[in-house]
Amino acid sequence: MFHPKKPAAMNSNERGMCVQGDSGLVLTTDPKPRLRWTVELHDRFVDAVTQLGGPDKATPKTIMRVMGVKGLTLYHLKSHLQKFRLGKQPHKEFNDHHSVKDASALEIQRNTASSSGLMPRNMNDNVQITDAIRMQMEVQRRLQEQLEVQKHLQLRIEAQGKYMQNILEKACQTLAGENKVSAAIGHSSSALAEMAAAGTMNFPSLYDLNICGGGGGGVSCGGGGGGEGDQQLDHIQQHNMESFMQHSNDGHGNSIGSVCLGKKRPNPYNGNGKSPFIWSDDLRLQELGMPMTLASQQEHPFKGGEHQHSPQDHHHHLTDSMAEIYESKPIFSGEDKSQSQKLERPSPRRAGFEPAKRICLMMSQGRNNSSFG
Amino acid sequence: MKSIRDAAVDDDNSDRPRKRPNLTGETTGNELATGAERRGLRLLRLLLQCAECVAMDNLSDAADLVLEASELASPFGSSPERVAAYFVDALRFRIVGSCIGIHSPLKHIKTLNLSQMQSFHGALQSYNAISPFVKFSHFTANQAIYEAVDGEERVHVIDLDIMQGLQWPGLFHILASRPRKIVSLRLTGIGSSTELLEQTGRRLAEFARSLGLPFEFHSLEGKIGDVADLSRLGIRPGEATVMHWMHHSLYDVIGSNLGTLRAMKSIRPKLITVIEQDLSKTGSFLVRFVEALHYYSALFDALEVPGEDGFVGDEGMILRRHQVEQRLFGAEIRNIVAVGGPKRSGGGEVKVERWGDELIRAGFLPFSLAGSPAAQASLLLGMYRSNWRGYSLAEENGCLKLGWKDLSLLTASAWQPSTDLIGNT
Repeated sequence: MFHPKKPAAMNSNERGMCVQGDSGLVLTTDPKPRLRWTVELHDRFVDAVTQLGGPDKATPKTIMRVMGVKGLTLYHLKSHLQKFRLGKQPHKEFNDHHSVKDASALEIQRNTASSSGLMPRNMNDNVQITDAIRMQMEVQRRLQEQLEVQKHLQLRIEAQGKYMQNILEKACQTLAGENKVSAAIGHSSSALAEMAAAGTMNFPSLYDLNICGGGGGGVSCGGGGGGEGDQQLDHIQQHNMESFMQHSNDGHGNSIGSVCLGKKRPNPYNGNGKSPFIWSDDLRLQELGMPMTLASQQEHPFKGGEHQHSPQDHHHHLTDSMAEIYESKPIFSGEDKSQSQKLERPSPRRAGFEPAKRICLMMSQGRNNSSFG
Repeated sequence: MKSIRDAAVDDDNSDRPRKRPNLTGETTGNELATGAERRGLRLLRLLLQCAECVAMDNLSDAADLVLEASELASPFGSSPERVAAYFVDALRFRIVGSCIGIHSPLKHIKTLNLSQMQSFHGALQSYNAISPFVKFSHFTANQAIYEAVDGEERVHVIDLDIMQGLQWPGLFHILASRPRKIVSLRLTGIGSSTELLEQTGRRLAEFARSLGLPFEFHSLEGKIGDVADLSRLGIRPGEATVMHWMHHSLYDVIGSNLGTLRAMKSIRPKLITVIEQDLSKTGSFLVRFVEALHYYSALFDALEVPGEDGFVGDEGMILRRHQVEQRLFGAEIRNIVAVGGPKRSGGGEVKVERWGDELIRAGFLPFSLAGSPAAQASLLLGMYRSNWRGYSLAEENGCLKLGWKDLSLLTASAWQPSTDLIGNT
């Protein structure tokens, strides 16, 4: 029943006297250019009016803009809007301007007229309520869609955050252990040692930000300081990515990066402070999630590297963590009061793609600048 | 700070030479703006004084004061003048009623006729168009219901006051787009007129059919609290039952309070969604009068937003607003002031102040709306941000409150049965 938002396809089998224009409007060949309000056109009109906030808030100019139908003039819209507002009541008086003081007189007139003839009023009422219902459904549908989008993004953020947290925890432990082992097992092992060395350089910076171990929040990248946060994170990401790429480059030159380049992951990190309340709690988790973003949900690099990656432990850690992620409860329940109270309208999609591109860019830079190879 | 009475007396003395102040009657042009303010203040004082007199049964003074106030008030003036007009009307009715010795409820509260209901319905549509309250109520409840019946295939919704059923197609839609299909959706609509109920039922059935939902409508004429035989509600095992209750002061929706609670306890619906006005129904007349005055002043202010286009929009908007004010708010104000509320405690029942407390006592627990329903509500307001700028949304203890500026006007809450009763959930 819902008319999807596609251009109205006009029925070309109209009566001969109606001309179908390029824009799909049906104009009669009367001396007065009269527009025929077909069902589809009216539906688009109702859509536009709903979008603008209802018949009282919409104006002919804005409706025209939203509908974007060529050949539709303000004149057409003015009269149609007026009729629509008044629910297609047959009373002519409403079409003229009248002073507000007469409103009560008119009300009485309307009431007496309608109570004597119950049937006509019922019919008009039916049309009016049906229109109202359709508009209501439309609004609810839109809200539901936005809600779904929001929910999915939140789940993804949570999963990434938890995953990253686990990685770091395990990596911290692993490194602490492996640093003591002598590098005799081979190439990969020395690479690991290098990575460990590099790692110890990197991890302190993460520790500085109190991220590792999932400790309490204090991340400086809040809603307002988006710009600075970006740079800080880029820095960290670069280090991490270098180390991970080095690690994965060992056996077969297949880097995580190359597999992932060009894959657009909708990254929820938007760091521009536009939606402070939804994202602020998440930023901490997002920073955890970022370096591993591109690697985490890829099966291939790990599978491909399985045979040759000697830090098998590391790989196991990763897969273990992945299993854990999807069973564990999300950290961020998304239900605290502060979030609900001042919710802004989020625009996740728009903000999502740029950071992902930035990561890919940096990764290619990272490879060039790699000091280990 | 002078007492209200003193202030009113001072005003009277200063205005005595000009018995009927008109717009140009103030001294200089500068004072025009403040003149309007003073008029508003004077109106407020008169109303409060009058209410005091009524509360003390001083009906002759009250009559004088209400006459004076009626000269300043008008249903076509500024926001304070308009809200005052309806309070003046209500006070007049109460004074007359008291004088003649009529203390019984207004006749048409008990027996609403068809045209009365239709008048409400028409005005409600306008209300839906010019303010977010109706959408907020409907969509918040729908979202909570959607979450509560997640995983259920058979759903039965009982609407305690279905009117034209504007709320339900929205729910139909979100249920129809669920991945796990609904096997059966039943809706029992309760109302006062069988004819209107059947109209509503036909309309809703059509919408459900167009969405491909297996749908059944049942009508129940009467009030939930007065239903002696609960089998009339047609509860079936294996179904998730949901109850929805939208409060208002237009007429008595539920009948007996005890009966309603009994029904809820017996049916134990999976979810009860409640939308309440943040207006106290108990307390002394004066307390309720003052609260109602604040409440409706805020409501009238909220509707004061002018149309964007200085065009036909204004006229249409003003007409709609007038319709809403006269038919809905006016009726509610009259019920609250003149009669003491849409429900008279004629049955000897104690009035319920907070239904939440009663529901807890009946074995229900709050179902938090802080998640998706809250997110949806703020998306809703954001959608209409340009029009509905002064509205505020807040969440408190799992309930959602929508208000104007800092006054909460409507509260949405949801309740689920607690699980520690005889093993039933």
